[in-house]
Amino acid sequence: MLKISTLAAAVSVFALTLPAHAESFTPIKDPKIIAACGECHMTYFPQMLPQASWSKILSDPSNHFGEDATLAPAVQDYVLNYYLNDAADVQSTRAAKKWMTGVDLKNPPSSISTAPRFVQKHSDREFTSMWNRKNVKSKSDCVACHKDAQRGIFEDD
Amino acid sequence: MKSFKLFLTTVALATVISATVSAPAFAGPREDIIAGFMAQGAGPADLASGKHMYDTTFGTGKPDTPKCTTCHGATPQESGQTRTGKAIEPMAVSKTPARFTDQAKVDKWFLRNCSGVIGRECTAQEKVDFISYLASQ
Repeated sequence: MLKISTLAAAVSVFALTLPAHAESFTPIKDPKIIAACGECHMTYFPQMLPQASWSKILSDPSNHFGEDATLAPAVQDYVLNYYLNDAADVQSTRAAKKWMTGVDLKNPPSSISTAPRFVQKHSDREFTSMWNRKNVKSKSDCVACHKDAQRGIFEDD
Repeated sequence: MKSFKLFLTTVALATVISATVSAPAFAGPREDIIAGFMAQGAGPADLASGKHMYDTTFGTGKPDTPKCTTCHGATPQESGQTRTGKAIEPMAVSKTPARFTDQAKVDKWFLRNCSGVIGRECTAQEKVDFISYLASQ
């Protein structure tokens, strides 16, 4: 009982320390996803894009943002299903709702960095200079600025 | 008595087999992987060819990845970086001892990167040359 109340207290303290607008994602711990995707880049969160976007992005890994990211067929199916199951338009989490705002499902985003939520959060002119200053190689490199991105936390900017 | 004889024969046979299989002086996972590609028709390793592969700008695969060092370090001893900014450990075995010790990984990355950089699958000979060159680094 003591343990539970301690945990509850810890959780509420943690919640209080989060800024009001924080949206967080459940960290990806699936070893298959980490192996298939995480060797090249951060394992992005399924709730950042709708199913239609993930279908476009993950259906042909042989041409994956200009790279050949061919996976064994069984692994490719697994990855695609993983992202479809938790996509922004099927999940009801706060993050999923935020990332669906402004999305046109008839013309779904072709990448996370062109999703309305990403564009809105990185639209200030200061971002260009910050990206240059920090030598951010690509907008896909979330952890260059968001140190806890892989843990699902982006409220550090 | 009969079963004891059988036991002795089995032990003797097992000794002979294991001695034959582990004949190369430095047998290990990397040597096994190289031996596997040799069984697919590759001859002895040519380190110079392996170095040439690592250093050459092919430009015959995907436009964004014309050479190994687009992502891997300029020399095998240096770290590289994916196009998404993630660090890649050096390819030189002296720096990253686990290189080329996992068959599934070796197959996965040769498949992708030969296609992405050269525009075709690598031959068994190229794989032997490439691994052996980086094992010597």
